[in-house]
Amino acid sequence: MGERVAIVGIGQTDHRFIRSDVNHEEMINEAVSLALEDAGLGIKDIDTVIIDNMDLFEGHYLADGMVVDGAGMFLKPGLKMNTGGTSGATAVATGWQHVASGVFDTALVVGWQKQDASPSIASLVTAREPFYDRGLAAGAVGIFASMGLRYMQETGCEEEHAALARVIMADNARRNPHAHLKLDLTTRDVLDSRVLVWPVRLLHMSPTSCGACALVLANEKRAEKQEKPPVWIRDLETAHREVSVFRGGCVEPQPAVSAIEVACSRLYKRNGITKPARDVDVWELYTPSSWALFPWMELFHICEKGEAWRLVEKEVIRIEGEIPIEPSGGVVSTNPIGASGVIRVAEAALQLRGEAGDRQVSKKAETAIATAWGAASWIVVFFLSKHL
Amino acid sequence: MNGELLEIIIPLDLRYKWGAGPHLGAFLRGLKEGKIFANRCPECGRLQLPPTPVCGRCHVAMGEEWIELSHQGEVISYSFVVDPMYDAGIGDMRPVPYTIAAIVLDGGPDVAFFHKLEEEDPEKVQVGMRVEAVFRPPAEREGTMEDIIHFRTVS
Repeated sequence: MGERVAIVGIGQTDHRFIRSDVNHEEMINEAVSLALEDAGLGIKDIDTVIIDNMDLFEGHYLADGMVVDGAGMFLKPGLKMNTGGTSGATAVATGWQHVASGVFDTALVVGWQKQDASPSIASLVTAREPFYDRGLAAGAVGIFASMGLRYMQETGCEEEHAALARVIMADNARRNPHAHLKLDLTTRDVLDSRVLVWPVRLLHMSPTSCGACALVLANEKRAEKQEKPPVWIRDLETAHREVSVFRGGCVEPQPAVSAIEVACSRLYKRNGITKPARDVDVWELYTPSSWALFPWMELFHICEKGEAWRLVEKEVIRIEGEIPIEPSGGVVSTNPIGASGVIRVAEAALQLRGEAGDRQVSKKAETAIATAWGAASWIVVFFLSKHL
Repeated sequence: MNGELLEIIIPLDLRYKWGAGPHLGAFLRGLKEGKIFANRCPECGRLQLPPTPVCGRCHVAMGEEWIELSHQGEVISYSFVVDPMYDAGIGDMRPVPYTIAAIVLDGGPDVAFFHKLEEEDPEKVQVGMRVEAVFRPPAEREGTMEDIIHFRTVS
């Protein structure tokens, strides 16, 4: 497994629809400065810098070239990652690998997106195979529509349950000062919002946000010198689906293999997690649509297949509940895409530190799962713990 | 320093040329002839639609077993696209509304085909309904997915 790796610094911007008060580099620097300040370290203490965003979203190739100073990369080793929606998690995984390998003592991981610059969906639809399904694809909305529809058909879940999931995430987001959408919603509001691609309504989809998030990672020797208690990235696992899922998004009547399920099964086995709902205290899943919550809960083995909507109905996923999921308000409330995967890990780490403020879960939080997901089905799942 | 926050608009109007390759190419030529082809993995026997050169699971070349699927099949999933969406093929918003469906064609039980349905009335679309492909007249076909106009309900 290599060196043990801890999160020792956490920083994020307040995420907003428009940030015309800063350029890309300045926005990134806000998060980097906050993470270094939180760690009590300077940029000289950082051995390598891993950055990520969604290329093309700002109409700009090689974004890394323009943000070097803001990210603190000048003359340092490092990499730029891009795995679609998963990018932020891939960047954290890469930082972890750099430190776990023993080559670097510390790593700074920085994810960002500045969507006020962009027609993001125009960029996103170019991900589709141009001959076979660009002519029909409805972006991420279409993927979650087919997900939601199939879930309703197979389980008895109704639109009201997805609306309730959205209301719970909105309630959580209002307790998170960094969240973008802090909406005061009822299920009726969600059900009355306009249909994008049925059954996905406007309020079921994540916003286009501007924001950045940075983490400082350190090996055990460095982490022990820190003032704040470290949060350990105990383990992580990645898995990828075969490419054919991206052609039509529905190549098979019933996808037989889920990369999420494969990745977390391997992770659970290695770490002795036999009953995830009991063994994991807090969850930061990556749900760009409230409709994704149900299949995610089942693929992460939080409950049996077809049972997630019943757990949502019982509201046990709330901040005060037995199985708190997305206490931050989740991606459906805040989505600066390249930062979103980093934010999942950051928010899970804040929970384990006990520094999540108004959104701190009621139960004792000592272990967490954080993840990110993208339509290309690159999956990264992190297991975090307060103690080694 | 205080002052006006400046912004500029950057238009991006670009042209790209993609190649279909031999397998997807054969599928598209098939559409021009009014046929829907899948290919079969020699190892696991799984069909691929659209046809691919390699089986993602077995990591073997797909070989030359081409299966012609029926024009008829069953809807296994569907949705209604109501909100305008960018179409990367035309660089503009696509007209709405339209109905999309995943269809399992007769002869290809382990793959779904993704296309539009003619039926736009939500009350009349359901899982399990039988539909068939409506091709353009031969002279109007260009070897693209649009050679099929949509799938219509089989009464």
